[in-house]
Amino acid sequence: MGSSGTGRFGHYPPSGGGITPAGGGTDPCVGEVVCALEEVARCQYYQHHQGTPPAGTLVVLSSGLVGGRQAVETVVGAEVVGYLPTAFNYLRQCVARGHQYSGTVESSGMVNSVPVVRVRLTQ
Amino acid sequence: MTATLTWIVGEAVVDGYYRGPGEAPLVRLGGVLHAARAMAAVGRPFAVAYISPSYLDGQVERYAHSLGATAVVKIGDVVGCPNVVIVGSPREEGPQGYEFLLREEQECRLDLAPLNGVVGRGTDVLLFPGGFDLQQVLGLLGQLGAAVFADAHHGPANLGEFAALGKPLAGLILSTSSQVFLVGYGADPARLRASTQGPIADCVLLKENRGGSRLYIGTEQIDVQAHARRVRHSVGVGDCFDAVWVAMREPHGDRAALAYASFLAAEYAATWEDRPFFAAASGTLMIPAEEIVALNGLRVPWERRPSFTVYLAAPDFEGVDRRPIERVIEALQYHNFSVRCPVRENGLVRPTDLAPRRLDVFQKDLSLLASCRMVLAVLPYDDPGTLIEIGWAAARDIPVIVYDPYRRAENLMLTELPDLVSSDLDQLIVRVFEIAARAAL
Repeated sequence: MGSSGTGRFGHYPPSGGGITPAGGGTDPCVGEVVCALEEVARCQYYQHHQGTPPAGTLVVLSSGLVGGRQAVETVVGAEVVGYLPTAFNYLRQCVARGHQYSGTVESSGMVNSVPVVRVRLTQ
Repeated sequence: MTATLTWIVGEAVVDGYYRGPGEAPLVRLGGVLHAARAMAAVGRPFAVAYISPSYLDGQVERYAHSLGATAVVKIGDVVGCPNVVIVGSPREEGPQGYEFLLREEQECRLDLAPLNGVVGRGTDVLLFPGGFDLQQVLGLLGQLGAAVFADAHHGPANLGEFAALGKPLAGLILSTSSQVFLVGYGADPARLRASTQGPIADCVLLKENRGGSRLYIGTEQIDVQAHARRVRHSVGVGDCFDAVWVAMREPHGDRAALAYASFLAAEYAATWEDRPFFAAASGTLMIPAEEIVALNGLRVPWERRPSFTVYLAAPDFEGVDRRPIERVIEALQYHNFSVRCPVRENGLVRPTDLAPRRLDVFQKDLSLLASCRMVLAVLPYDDPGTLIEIGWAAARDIPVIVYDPYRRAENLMLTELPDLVSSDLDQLIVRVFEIAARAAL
């Protein structure tokens, strides 16, 4: 029987001293955000066009909050298409650090009479 | 104005986690060091007064200093016990299953002299009771005049013990998973407030796990949103919340401090490692206070969760391995949702049962299904009854999520019709909170 751990504290730099919080981890700010937007039917784009933006439409994560939510809006016309699910709230601290997210509408349409827009955003 | 120094007082422990297949076990310093990490991450001045077995002294002092503690003093020695906590289920989709090794053998010998002259009026104390003579510590802190915030998650069972401070606590902190709340106050926030705000503490913070938090202060109740995040662990997350709230209330006031605390607690839970947490904290502090307060998250008050009924669709039958079903029930009950189990409530129909009995149970099950706010289906295999219940509910716009513990779901209708199909119970529990929040409980 053997030990599978490192045998030392997982947070502590082996050499000690100095403010050197250990661990690299992956940066949650880097990478793709792929999701269905929320409240599409109530948002500007659907209200103005009575429809969803076609696949391929360029979109961007708005820099500020809209009604307390993180909004995704069209690059052309800056119309809000929908909101990111709250599970992506962590992106606020990424935006605060200067990260910007843009991408395209991956798919869109009506499902059971409900407008659905799926986006793919990258940094 | 010089920022107020916060002393973090309590035990230093070693947390050991078995993180599951494919990940090496992890050991890190916990107890007061969780709060120290959080204080360091938000850049507020802090000092550590710790109690531990002597074998940990060097590690605790080096680590606390490396985080930037302005002072680190030992105020008690632990003998007979290694102060090691084994964490069975680090993510807290349900009960966590802590094991504090040899806790009944633990003996603590306090020496509070190092606090004299360094703690006093103008300093805050964030106190984590447990494992030491609380009366003695409170007696001294009362004499020294510090403002004391105490997290009573691990006791004392009788909050009247805080009277030894000689004045009310500046803040009492509890969580809904604490036995103090569940047993001592009947899991009733109103009763907690009535009994504690005023005589025991100036204000009372109740952390409601993934459903947000509330602060009772004066005649006000400040509600705080939780931020759903992919949880890696839940160990020390509450301590992180406490520390950020206590540290940030001076520069930002309670409402914003709590919003920062909630956001950063989610970040703390998202990583085991210091570096990404510190990076997230630096970004979080760049979010203006008014924006973090405005940021919509999840708020599902504890006492309203029982009215959110969850229909458990599952082959809850004899002869079936019910462990995944039991895990789901336990997790939902842990978070105070009402789980409705048709087989257990209405009975099991056997092939030999006659038509009147079959019809009676069928109608009761269907009636129960129609009355519930959502369906959580457990599919250890393709059980036709469960699949039909999923379709029936989805067709009636009842939200449906599916626990697929063995990743067997491939059928198009099954993967696309529900709101979520996942083998990750934690992800499913978060979705229950999201659906409940949308239902505007």
